[in-house]
Amino acid sequence: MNRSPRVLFFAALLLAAGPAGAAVDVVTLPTREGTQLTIYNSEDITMVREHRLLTVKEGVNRIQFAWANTLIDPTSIEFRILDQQDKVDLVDTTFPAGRNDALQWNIKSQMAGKIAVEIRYFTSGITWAADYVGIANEDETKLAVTGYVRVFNNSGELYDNAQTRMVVGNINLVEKIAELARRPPPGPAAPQSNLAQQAFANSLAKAEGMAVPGPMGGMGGMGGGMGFAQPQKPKAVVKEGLSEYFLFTIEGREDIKDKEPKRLVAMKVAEVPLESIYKLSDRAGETQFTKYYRFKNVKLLDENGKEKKLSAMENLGLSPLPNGMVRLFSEYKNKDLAYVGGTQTKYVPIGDRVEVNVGADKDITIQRHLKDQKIGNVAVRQYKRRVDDQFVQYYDLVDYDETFYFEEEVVSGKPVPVKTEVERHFEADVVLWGEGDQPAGWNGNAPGAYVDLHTIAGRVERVDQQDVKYFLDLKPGKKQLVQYSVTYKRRKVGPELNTERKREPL
Amino acid sequence: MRTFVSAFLGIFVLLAVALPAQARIKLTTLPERESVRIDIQNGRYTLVEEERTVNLQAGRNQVDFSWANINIDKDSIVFRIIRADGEVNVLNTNYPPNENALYWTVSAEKAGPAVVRISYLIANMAAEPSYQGVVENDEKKLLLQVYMTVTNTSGESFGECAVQPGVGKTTVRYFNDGERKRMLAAKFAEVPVAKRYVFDAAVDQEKTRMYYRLTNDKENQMGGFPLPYGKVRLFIKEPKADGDVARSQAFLGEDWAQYTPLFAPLDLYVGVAQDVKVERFQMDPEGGVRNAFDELTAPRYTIDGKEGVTKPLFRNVRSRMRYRLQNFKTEKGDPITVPLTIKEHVDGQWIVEKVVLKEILGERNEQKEKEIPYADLFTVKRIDVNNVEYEVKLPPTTIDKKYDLYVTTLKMFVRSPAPPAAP
Repeated sequence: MNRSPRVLFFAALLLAAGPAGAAVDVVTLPTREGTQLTIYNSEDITMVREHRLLTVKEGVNRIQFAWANTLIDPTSIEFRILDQQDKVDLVDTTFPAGRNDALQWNIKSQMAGKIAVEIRYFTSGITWAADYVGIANEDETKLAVTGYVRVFNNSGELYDNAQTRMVVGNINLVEKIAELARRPPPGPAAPQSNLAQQAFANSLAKAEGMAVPGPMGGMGGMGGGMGFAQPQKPKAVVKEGLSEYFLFTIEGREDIKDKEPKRLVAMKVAEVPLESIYKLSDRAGETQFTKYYRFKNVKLLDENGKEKKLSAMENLGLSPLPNGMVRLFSEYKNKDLAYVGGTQTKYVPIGDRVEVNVGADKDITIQRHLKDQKIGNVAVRQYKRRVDDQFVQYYDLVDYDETFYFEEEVVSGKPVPVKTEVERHFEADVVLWGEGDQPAGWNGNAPGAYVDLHTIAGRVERVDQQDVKYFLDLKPGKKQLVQYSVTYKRRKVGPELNTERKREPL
Repeated sequence: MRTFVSAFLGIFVLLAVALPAQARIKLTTLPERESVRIDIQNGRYTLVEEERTVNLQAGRNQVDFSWANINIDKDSIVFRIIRADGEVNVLNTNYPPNENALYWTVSAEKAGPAVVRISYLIANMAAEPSYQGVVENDEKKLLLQVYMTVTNTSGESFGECAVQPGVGKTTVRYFNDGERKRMLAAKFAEVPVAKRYVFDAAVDQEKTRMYYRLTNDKENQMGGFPLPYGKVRLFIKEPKADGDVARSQAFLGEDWAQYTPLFAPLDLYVGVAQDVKVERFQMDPEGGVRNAFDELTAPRYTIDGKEGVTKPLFRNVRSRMRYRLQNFKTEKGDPITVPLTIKEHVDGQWIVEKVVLKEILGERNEQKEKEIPYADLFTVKRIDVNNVEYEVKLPPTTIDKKYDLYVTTLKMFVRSPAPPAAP
């Protein structure tokens, strides 16, 4: 078994539990029966669970656990007695003076023999990320999606033969694990005793030949060995919901080596119904359409609308899609690929839609012309204010209406019908003008942007106070004109010329 | 190996030798500590109580107490006789100059052993609470364990002692200088947990947060004491064991638990609920910008007795928010309704004027919207003058079915903007 030269920790069982300051008497290194890693992607945190078999004597036993040169959070280390719980109790956990890389557990036992224990802790330096490759067919109606998970281990430690699980979700972490791992102990630092270092060295030597995967149920089991004679399938990634998160578990066990990223297929789904949509938004400062691929994270249906019988690895709608990088290709009939684009996607819940930004698309053009403009309804109001025994005429404030007439020429060069969305921003609170007469408030004193979009064929949607969206379906090679006007009700605009102050008696 | 600087603490009994204080010659016996209790409940001071047995002679005795390498508040030392044969009285306490020491003059009716208790305050011990919560897989109940981590940098190493760090009491076999001990102080089983999904645009404009709410009372299996401030780490039991001897748990998240008095709720932010989506938009009031505010009028009385009507410097300002609500949350594969709380921050005098809940069906040009009754799905909860919460029972949604919630609030008697300043 390969073992990293920087062993994380050792556990020493002090059979002769002497007085507090007593040196290490006997060191036994219990074998590690199984390891489980639960890796989070929203924060730099990994939960490590280890099962070990400890030999205890009757009375009080002191067990030392040390983890020099690692990124383990000392406050997270938990010790659980898994069997003989009615006879064995954890009395306390003691952190030795001046050290933040070791602790001792005092356990009281009414029996002598072996007990199964679990050691659980958080460490930093192991992360995972999802990424996707999407290959669209030539007419962009179907997409083959392959999702990957990639595990990065920069912890400085090898986790061999470990059950590996990844959590999809954003946990709340109030303190960084790496900072907790590096936090010095309270009080003056004490030099490590030679005996403790010797014990650590002993444990290192003994560890070289240990960590035998054991029959510890979920954490033991399959082992990493693979036959060479038979063809092998990629390992399945089992997905299950857990509170607000999803847990992705890699089938069997893995060696998670230091500085050696590991990438595994998490899903491989063929023939996902694909839709292209083209958007242009003033809010995003866009001047040309951006293309988006859309598909739904729902179970795939056959031609008759029934759910296809597919395995969990080959279907959608059974787990959320974690955020990650997407690389999109288009496949020609001769199987050549063309790179379409790459982008980051957000987390997509089950049942929601995946929308991937493919990039700017020049096949659909839009030209916006200001066809006309006019100013009307000019009214001037004179404002004066009393100052002492005089009225002071400050200046005139002007009300006027300014109307702009726009024409947008939208042309699709695509060989198929396309759907577009155009979101326009106006520099005032928008009042939508329907087909009828002047909208309510037209003659009022409130400023606003009265937008007349009633000639547009598609639906118009108010996004918020100042943004309006309309939907256009375009036919191939056709030009479509969109005409609309906006009347800005300018109110109480300060004068540019008439700024002279005049005074008059009361 | 003991790494601390050894502290010295002892009791000396001077047998009826009356000598000048400046040059004290002591014939001493050194009684062992029989029990020690370390009490850190005060938060600022640590109280140490120790019991020792001293042999007293009939008549006057001098009991000497001195220390080194430990910061004892000299004025805090209390000496009490717990058990003795015959009457024993403390006559006076004496403080020798330039010494970390004092001695008591004790009068004993009879010769023999007496159990004395010495109590004193020391510095540089601290206790820090932390919590671990293990939630059942269905997230209905939780096992909450309170841990106290006690740091001893007092300079003194204690042998077996009882430590009372504010919550709980643990007897340890030793507690050396420089050490920290983590002790299980209290345990609450089967504590009911309420899940809350909270959207607060002032905190995060995009994400909905999931909170656990616990209540610190007997009805909710707690209520033993006010919960101190500390970090809570939450774990969840996984659904199946598959022969795993220890049921597997996953880490859910952590938060700071605020100081929680009895009967008070404790909210813990666990993580982001990515399946519950809220988008918030500022909209115009119904009817357009002309309804953005209501001008107010007030009667006007002039100095010469005339009455009229004028516009005071106040007006009512109306604002309307739109919340696009989507819920993709599932439980065992089935969509579920979730309790969503939308927090808004207001001030002054305000009311929620109008609420409209719309069901949005379809998309793009085929999209239809329909106003639906909201009485069973929506309630307004006034927290205080600055905070309001909208509680929504949000049914499951799909891509083709979502909800728009419109809430109009009217802020009343808002000062009108000042007239334009002179150029």
